[in-house]
Amino acid sequence: MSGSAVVATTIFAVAMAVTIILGVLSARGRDKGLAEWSVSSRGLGVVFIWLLMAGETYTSFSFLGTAGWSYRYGAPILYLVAYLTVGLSVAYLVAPAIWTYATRHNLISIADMAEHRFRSRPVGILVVLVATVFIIPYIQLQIQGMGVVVNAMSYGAIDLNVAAVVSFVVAEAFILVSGLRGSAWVSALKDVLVIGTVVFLAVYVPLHYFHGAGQFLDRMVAEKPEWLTFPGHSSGGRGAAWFVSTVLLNGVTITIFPNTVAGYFGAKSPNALRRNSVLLPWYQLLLFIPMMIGAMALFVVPALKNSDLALFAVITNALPSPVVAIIGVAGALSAIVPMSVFVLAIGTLWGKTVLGGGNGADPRRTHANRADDARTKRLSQVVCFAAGFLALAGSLFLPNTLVQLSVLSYEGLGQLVPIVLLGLFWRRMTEAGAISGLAVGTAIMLGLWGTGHDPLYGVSGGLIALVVNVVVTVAVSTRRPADRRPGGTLTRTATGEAS
Amino acid sequence: MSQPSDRTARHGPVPFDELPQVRVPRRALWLLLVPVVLYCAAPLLANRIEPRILGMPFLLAYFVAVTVVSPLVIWGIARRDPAYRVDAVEPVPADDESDATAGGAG
Repeated sequence: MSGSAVVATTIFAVAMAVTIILGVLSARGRDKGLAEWSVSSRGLGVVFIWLLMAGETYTSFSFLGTAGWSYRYGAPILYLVAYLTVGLSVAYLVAPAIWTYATRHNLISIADMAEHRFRSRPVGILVVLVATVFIIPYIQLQIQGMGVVVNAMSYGAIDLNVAAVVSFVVAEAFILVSGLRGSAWVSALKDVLVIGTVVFLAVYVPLHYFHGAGQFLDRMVAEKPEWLTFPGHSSGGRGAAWFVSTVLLNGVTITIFPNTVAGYFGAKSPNALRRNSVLLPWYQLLLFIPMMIGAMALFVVPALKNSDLALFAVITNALPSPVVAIIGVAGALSAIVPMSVFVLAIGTLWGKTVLGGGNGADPRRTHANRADDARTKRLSQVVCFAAGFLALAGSLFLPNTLVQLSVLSYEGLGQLVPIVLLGLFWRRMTEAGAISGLAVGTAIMLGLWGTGHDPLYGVSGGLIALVVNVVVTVAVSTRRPADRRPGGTLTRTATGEAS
Repeated sequence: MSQPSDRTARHGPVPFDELPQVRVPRRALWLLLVPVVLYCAAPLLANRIEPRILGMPFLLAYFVAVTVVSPLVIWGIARRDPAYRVDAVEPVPADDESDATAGGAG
């Protein structure tokens, strides 16, 4: 092991230990109940909500992938900044609405909400299944992203698989003990490191490789103009139609991602979330830096095989090992924090709605076998561990297969938008409408993708499927309206709509 | 139904029932579409390199500008939003039962 590798490995080991300690200690003196673990007793103010949301939104792939896309395609990567900001604009309305509904009825996940809204445990379970299928690959993507970062920062000394196991152990250690509050505290550490290193890189890298950003931009315009406008450099048709449809789909979908919603639930009041929509968009400005570095890699390392390594290729060449290690730690935490919230979200989805017997809103079920809070928490923790373990196994044994699914995460979770959101805003939406819409939308989405028709005429298949999904939901809901009223009492007057 | 309280400072979680409800039109929320429109217009209106602004190609400069303007727009919306002023719960139509006949939620 070279001297640089020893330094980097040591710094990494210390940072991981600090992360576990910080995460575990964050729950000290707190209540041990389900509400504390899953939603921090709904006690997070605007600062922690900001830290948590920033921590979980900007994943290791936001940085590696951003530089990678910038290197490979150019302009199309701007969609990331666009949909994240659009998502926060949508969230100004959506986040407090979800928070209000969930807090009023004491609900802890999107499936819990759907079950309550439609008085239907099957709808809740359906939401759990769809969410799980599209999120486990996303967790795996984080684990593998962590592997890439740690391997690069340690100059190859730490094996990809070792890094994967470490990310799993660290994330599970604090999430199982401390729950959402643990993620929020580790996010604080992560955000400080990320902001610090990104701002540093913004200044240092252009000066090191070019005579400042001005000269770099001149060279881009002179030598690589293709990268600077849509559809970019051989991007496979990522032009205007793709951009607009993907920004719309992702912008709405990110507001109901189970991990985003887990963050909403932690808020202590609606304004903590509304303020977050004002404050968090500023974080987007940081994303222009990895974009810039990715483009710089075009000149620094012109023949890179794996474009996701563009960022680290530029950094490891330019900086001493302790600095590289700290950047690596920032990158590793960018995988660990989102991962922890993802597994927490899957845990609460399964622990309450599937294994715990639901929330009792469905009048067709007996309530005798419903789990109490302590048991629901235990079940959630078991699933929380199992989900992470499954993703870890996937990254160790099937590194490519599942990750292909993760590109479908937004398109798949997008199909839950009517059930989770439309249901809150449209009182007449029925259980039958919800299920039909989801079934048709998911089938179309998978069909387009499976037959190679996504994007269709440049338009994201996920958005096409979502539009059909909404149309079916509305058509079925209005054709067979339910007598019962959503919300309020649990009594059910209509019986003619068994699922 | 609307009884906006003017509580300002508070510490720790507020009991849900004590949060005010606001049932007045919130027309400012339409402005939430401004960032959406600005970004979606980018590949149609700003898809060129010249003129360069502060050295940046025009498309990039446009994105940076929209990314700076968007939070300012959302901030302006919050300032004009009666629900934000009193930290009110969000009106959720699915929960409107007793007063649904009034028909004016949202």
